[in-house]
Amino acid sequence: MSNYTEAELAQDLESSDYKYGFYTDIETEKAPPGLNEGVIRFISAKKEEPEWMLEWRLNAFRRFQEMEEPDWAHVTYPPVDLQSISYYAAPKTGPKYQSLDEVDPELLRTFEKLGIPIDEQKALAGVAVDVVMDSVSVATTFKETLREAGVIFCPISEAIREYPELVKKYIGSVIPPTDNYYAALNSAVFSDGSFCYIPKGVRCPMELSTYFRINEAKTGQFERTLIIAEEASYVSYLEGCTAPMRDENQLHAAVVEIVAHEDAEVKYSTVQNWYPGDKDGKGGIYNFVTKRGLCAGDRSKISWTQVETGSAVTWKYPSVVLKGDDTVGEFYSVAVTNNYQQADTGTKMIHLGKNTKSTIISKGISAGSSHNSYRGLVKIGRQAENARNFSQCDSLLLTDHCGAHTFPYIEVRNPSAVVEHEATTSKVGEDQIFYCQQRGLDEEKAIALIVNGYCKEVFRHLPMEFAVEAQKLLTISLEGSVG
Amino acid sequence: MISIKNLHAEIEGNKILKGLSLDVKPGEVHAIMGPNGSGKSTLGNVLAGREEYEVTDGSITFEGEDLLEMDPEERAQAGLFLAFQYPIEIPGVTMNTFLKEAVNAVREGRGQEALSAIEFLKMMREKQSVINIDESLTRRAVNEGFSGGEKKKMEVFQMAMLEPKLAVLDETDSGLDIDALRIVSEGVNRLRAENRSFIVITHYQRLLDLIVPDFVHVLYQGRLVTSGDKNLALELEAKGYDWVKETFGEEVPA
Amino acid sequence: MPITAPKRVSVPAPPRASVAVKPADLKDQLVEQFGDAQTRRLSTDTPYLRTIREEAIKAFDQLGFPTKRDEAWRYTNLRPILRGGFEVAEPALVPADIDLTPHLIPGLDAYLMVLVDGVFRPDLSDLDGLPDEVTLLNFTEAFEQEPQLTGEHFAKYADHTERAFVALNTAFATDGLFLHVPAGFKLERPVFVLYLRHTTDAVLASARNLVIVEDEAEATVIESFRVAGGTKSFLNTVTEFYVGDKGHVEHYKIQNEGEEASQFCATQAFQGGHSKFHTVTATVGGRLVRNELEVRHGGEFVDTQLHGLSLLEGQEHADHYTLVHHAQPNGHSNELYKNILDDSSELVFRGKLFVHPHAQVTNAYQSNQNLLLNDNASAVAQPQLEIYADDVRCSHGATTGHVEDEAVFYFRARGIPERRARILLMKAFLSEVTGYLENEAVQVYVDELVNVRFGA
Repeated sequence: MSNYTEAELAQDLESSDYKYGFYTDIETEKAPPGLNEGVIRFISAKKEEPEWMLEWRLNAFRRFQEMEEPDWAHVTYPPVDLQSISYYAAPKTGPKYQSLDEVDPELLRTFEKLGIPIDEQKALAGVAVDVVMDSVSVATTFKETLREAGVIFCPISEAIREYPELVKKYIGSVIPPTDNYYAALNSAVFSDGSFCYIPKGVRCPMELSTYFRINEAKTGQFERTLIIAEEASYVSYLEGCTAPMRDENQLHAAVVEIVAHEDAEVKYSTVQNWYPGDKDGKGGIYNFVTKRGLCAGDRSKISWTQVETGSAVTWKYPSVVLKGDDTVGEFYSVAVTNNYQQADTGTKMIHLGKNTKSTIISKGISAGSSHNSYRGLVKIGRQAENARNFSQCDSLLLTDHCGAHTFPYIEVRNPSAVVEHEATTSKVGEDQIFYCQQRGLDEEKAIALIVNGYCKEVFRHLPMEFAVEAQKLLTISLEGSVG
Repeated sequence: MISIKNLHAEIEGNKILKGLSLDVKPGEVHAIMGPNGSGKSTLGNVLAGREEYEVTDGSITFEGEDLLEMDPEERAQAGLFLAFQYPIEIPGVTMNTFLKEAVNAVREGRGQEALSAIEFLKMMREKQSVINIDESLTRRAVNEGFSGGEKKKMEVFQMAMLEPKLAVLDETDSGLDIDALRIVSEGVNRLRAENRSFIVITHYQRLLDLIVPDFVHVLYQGRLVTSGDKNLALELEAKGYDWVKETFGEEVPA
Repeated sequence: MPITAPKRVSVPAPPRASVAVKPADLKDQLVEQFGDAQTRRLSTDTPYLRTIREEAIKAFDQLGFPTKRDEAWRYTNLRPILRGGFEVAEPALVPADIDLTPHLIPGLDAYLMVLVDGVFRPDLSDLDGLPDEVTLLNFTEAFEQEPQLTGEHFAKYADHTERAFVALNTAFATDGLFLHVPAGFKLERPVFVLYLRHTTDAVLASARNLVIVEDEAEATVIESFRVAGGTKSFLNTVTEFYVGDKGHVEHYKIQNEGEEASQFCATQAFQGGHSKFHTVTATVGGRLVRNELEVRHGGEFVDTQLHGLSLLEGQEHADHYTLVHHAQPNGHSNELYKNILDDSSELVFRGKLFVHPHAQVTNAYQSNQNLLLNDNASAVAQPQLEIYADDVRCSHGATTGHVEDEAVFYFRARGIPERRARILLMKAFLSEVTGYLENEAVQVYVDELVNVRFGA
């Protein structure tokens, strides 16, 4: 038996390439670097925003200036110079497209490389896609089909112009601009993102998908997504992201807000594959994201599923506020860190209503010299009769110089609650590897198999197409590991 | 002994028992058979007083008293014993402690003196001649890590210790192999007495070969649809529950 | 071993604050009083001790009292406790006459050291029959008599530069247990340290213990906290344990001071290779109790067992902060804390398992279980794993809930009244922890405290 161990796997992991690290040569229009009121006015003007939106942004900016960058996460990175970032970059070929034919062919090739078929093939897959490159939404497919169902799915910049009342009512209602440092920054400078409105009783006829890509150098991406599910509606929403390989660190500070009314259900899935930096930890995206859903109406349900493989530093806690009675919140997460990546991710489940239920399944896999932390809060309020939570947080260590950490916070203030938290940390079992080898698998395949099996519980909550992509991503990371 | 009249009960809004009536006299053994979902376990739980089950109509008189007015522990003290289908595990409480508490609570309820530790141990020994259990089990936590057979044997042993007037066996045969079934049945048979009645709830006839009932009732859709002697059980075994469904399939008006 | 009572110096008590004191002002006051305390202790403190005290007060001055903004104090608010202010305790002019009987553990055969408001009382203590090999002294005099041991071990485990209350204790504590058990010696009888509160003044009472159990030696130390008078004082105790290679220490702490008294209590252990440190904390009362328990593995194949139970009612608040440093390979730790919260009581449990790089083949388990009995009670759990080695098996679990209805029903179906059923189930819940009390007298005593609390 060969002596393959995690140490070798770790070494092999270092050499696996980031296949999305190309740069698309498209003419862009870019704001000069710097963060000030002028830039915010510039963005707002570019987007032809109404006055109230500009005021909202400026207000957020003023509050932002009083705030300090949080330092409690288990991550370290040099301070981000917000003044060196450009807050607006748009492909120059006109931001509006009547059909896909008008889209810059270079851009289309980009999407092809990304594996996003925004062509008619997508009809078969039944997915409507909104693509946000750098700061601007460049293409939204299947608008017509969706419109027939009454679903609004468009860039948020468009929604601000076309559906100002809806945006005004909901923007910042789940994540107020003052929620945290990066949410405040996003509120001030967000450039685009997706807006999604599912009317009462409508089951969205297809999965909605947004692809985010940072393309330009020295830009930040600050997209903002708002999803509103009216009474008894349903939507499944997918989010993917990539960025080119660059030596510098780029900032991504997004905000996603979800509101679910009575009996509504929202499923939000993310495969996050931002550029993680090279094997020495140079470059990569700082991914500082605020995502939160509000189960506003009784019996509503919000489910977050995420597969996090990219970014140099991740700081992200998709959360659910269970305000209505009998509401359900779920969080399923796989986070893989390698080389010098750092991830501090988890969730918050805030139980306020009666008979509320939440489930947390988190799988962390650490390789190289990376650090992978689960941080989560389960809070059962005084009025939350019969609340239930189950959390399972498992960590897998592949080398002896990486770290795996678990920081749950459990606050229970109602005696009828039942809250259970379990966590384990271990390495890949040598007996498991041996068992696979004995059945004819090589070590690399064995580990890929075991790690995939380890993550199965989370993958099965992803839509089929995404699950396949997620598995591939994991396998790619483990590819070429035995020499 | 017990008189159940027009009993209606539901759980979480689901109506399970829809007008069940049954009279049991001292010393009688009544078997209640029925297909899955007919309301068998509900009957046992309602008799023992589980709060999740709501009695919406009807009455139960036990030894001349209104059973439905009594707390679960009062029912036990009055002499009603339920052998659970799934006895719960209670870590940290030894079977000895549990039984001593139970025996003395029941004795107190009956106006008898509490047993001293020595008297209690003596009683334990005596009852072990009725149903033979491994003594080490009594030193372990209640039902914790017990096999299915051990749990059921222990239920019958508890019955012997508490000397009830009416014992309700809720699918005591489920999950038992033939040897365990024989031991449990022998224990029950030894406890049969002139002034002690049994309600044996079961899905299968095989238990009734070992505990021979005086009466057999078929429970279907929340009511006793037919009654007879032990031959009814054999008939049911031969024809299967489909026969019950065909014969009594339509909802019978209450 | 000779033991002398501390010198009693008469100092008039300064007027007490009638308005709420700000923590920062209280800090300044205490720092100011340090000068007087140093002067007062000129004849008792060795230069070495004086230097460390200087370091400590400097650190305290910089740190100030912890606030809820400090991650480690996020759920424990000190402000209501500090509001009344307190003065540094000074020995009473005439030692109070106290009847020990209600405060002893029946049937416990132990060397008894009594500290009243943090001051050693040889007249109440009973240290007869101590083997010649063993050294037992009052804290301050140990520096003079055992300069080498104190120099080697004192303030080496409990960090007086980063932790405000440890710093405060280091600056002010004069009395407490110094115990040295030489290599290979097994001290059969336990050492029982009884802390009594007597004063009715709002004073800061401090006590400092240092227990050195050398290689292959064994000792049992029992601490019990009781009120024998007033409850306005704030008690700040710090105990350092050194357990040599293959040494074994059993440590039990019983905190039973009612609903009014508040305390900070730190236990710091350093373990050599193949050693055992077993500790059980029973907290059955206290307005605000903050326990910090830290263990560091200094060798391989170390066994650490940390167990605790809390039984709180009224407005009581207990905060158990535990940290195990797995700094060497092949270490094992097991932690179990069980808590029952009634009325408006609050419980905070924070347990961290820290596995250092190269601490391979670490096995660490941690479990925290809470039962809430009342709508107003609350429990916060923060079980944490911070792991930097890969060949480890670590897990933690935390559950919060109520007494299981199914189990209660099973009892009731056997004739046991509901109230009795609940008591039996709660006692069973706690018995897993009390089972770790290997001293029978202590176990019976704690069981009885539990019985009394349940009115059973």
